[in-house]
Amino acid sequence: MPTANRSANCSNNPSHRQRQVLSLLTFPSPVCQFLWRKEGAKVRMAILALCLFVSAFGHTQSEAPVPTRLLVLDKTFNLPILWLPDEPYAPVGDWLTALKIRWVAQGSGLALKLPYQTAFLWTTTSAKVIVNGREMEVAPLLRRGEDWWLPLVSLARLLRLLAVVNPEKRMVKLAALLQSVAVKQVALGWQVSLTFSYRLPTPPKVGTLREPDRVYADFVGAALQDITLPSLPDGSPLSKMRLGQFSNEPLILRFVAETTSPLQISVVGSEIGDEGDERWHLLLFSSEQREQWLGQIRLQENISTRAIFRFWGRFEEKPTVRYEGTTLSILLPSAPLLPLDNASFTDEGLVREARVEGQGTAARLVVTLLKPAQAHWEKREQGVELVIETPFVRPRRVRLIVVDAGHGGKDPGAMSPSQPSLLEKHLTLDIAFRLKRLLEQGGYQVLLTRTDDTYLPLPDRVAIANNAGADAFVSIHLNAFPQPGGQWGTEVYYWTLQSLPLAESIYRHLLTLLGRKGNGIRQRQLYVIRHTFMPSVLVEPCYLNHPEEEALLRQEWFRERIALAIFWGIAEFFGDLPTLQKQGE
Amino acid sequence: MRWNWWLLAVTLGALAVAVVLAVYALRIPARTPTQPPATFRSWQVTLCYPDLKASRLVRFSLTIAATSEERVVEELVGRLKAPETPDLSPALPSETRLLSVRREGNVLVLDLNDAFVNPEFWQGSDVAHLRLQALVHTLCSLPNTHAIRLLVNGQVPEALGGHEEVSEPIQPDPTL
Repeated sequence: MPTANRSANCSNNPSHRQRQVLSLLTFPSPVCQFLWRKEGAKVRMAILALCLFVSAFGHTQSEAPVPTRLLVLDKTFNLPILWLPDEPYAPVGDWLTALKIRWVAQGSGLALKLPYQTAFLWTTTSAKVIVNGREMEVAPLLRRGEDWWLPLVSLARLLRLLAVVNPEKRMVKLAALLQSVAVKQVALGWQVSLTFSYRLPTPPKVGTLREPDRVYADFVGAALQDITLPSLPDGSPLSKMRLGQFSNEPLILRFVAETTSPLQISVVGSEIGDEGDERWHLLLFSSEQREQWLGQIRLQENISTRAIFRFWGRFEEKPTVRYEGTTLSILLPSAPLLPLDNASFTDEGLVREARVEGQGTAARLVVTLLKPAQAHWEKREQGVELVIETPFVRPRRVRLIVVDAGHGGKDPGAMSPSQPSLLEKHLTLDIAFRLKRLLEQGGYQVLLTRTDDTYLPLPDRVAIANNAGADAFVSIHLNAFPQPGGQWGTEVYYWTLQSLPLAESIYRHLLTLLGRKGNGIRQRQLYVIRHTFMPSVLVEPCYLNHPEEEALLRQEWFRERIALAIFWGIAEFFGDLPTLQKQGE
Repeated sequence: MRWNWWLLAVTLGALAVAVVLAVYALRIPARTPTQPPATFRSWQVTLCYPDLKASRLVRFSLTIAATSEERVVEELVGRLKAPETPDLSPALPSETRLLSVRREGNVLVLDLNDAFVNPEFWQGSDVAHLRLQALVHTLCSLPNTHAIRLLVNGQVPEALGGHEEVSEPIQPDPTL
């Protein structure tokens, strides 16, 4: 492992200074003769005392830590470093997390756990450690008081990092080394793969430049070494490739490819080797290409209240998320090109299990959670992120009600038998708008799942409510019976027990205001009320294919009453009805 | 003359042998060596229909003798389209045809024709739910069947009548 710029600094070398003082005292020289003369004894004793003080002080200084800048991949730390003759030592601390290393004291040493490798023991007494069955020579650890000190050059050798040690500038850098570059043609375009000796802290940043046309990728925390670039395959749109150390602080390695025509560049994902090396795949494809593709899914954060999945690829629209209790099912545009990266998986995290199932357009990511949580999408420079959070992480002062107008677009719902026909989809939207107005006047925030005559799949309606973190969900429908006129009256449906009080209050107000027959509050596994997390109900105020109720539905005042009854039910459920009634007075 | 009597006797003998062989051949059913004989098996199932008020499921125990599970599903689909008593509601549109049946572990996958998604049949939240659940409860009474996946002409259909999502395997609603 190369250790560049390393140079000895005599002024800080205690043994050197001690030898100088010793030579003054023991060996005959003009200086010694001056010291041993009788004249001016006091002056001589003062000089001798000064020499002894300098010697002792110098010794103490050499053993004391010196403030030093330590660059670990993409992070910079200002640490006291022990500059010992063999190599610099850093105190064990937070800087190790930049390398994703965990540690615990064990007897006369430390047990260190490297990412993707088993733990190993590093002691203060032995000059050898065994990592993955291989014996490696290292400098022993140091123990001073309660603190442990790690030899940085040995650590770099263990991790296959580049260590740049500069004692004069008081600086140490630890960087991942670029090991190889490969190019190959794939179905979507051209794939460039760069392998690094250690996992990089962040994904590469990619972009395009013009005149001449070129694409680039910046790898933070990486350092360049002499490697041979592969020859460009025949028919490749790449005319030239080059590598450079774009920045030394922070360390950034830049890959540039000149192209014969304008190309796009995108990150596909990364793979981790057995030795902890990381291979990043980049996709270069035509600027005119509009095909959707999915490179890789990475679980990049996973704590008890929050998890983040990163999706690399090209998406026309954000994938649909479906909820089934503590299981999320994310419908993917295609099967990912690379395997799922589960590196951040921990037993304590919100995500208990994640796997990709199915092929092609039937592919989906199935995520098992520790507890029910809400998911929402966030756009990123490349691809998207799915952020999963446990409910009520984001406090809200105003309650949010999601109002779902049933059916829409190509799905008309029920139809009245009399002419001109009434369509359920139009009536539900009319009632939803009325309810929105009433709720907003009452101080609620309202989100409609649809605001015009469009078709919206049921999972999307659920996703709107769950992603918005709604406080209540009301789905508005109008009933129909197989035999027109065979049934009439009011029904309200719920699924979870937390929804029952909401169903009861809305049902009660519907019966009071509409005066129709009460068919009851029914517990049913209907999709929209089963998959929403918040109190949620589906209301069927009356039957569209019952002559009397159809006539009522044609009246505006009746539809207003339906909206008013639902509004009062919601307000009562939240305990706001007395306040609203006082305001009304 | 004597020679003629001999010829007549031989002809009659040959005819008699031919008749005996023909009768024997007709009495033994033809068998293809590669096809094992079909054996009938009894299947205990629970047939479910919504009641006419669409307020609950009505259950019937049934024994079906069939040579394969596919035949049983065919039989059940036929029965679900047309209940035997007028106080019950059909669970499937009358024009529904079963195109194929297969298994994915404990999930029974039914491929049906277009008539299955007739929007008029699936009107009303509770009616649609009870009808679909009648099908699901019935088929989940087959051995080792925990859920039903429904396809229409090999494709995942959209929500039935805008009420019942069928893109995922459907399990029996335990409240019914």
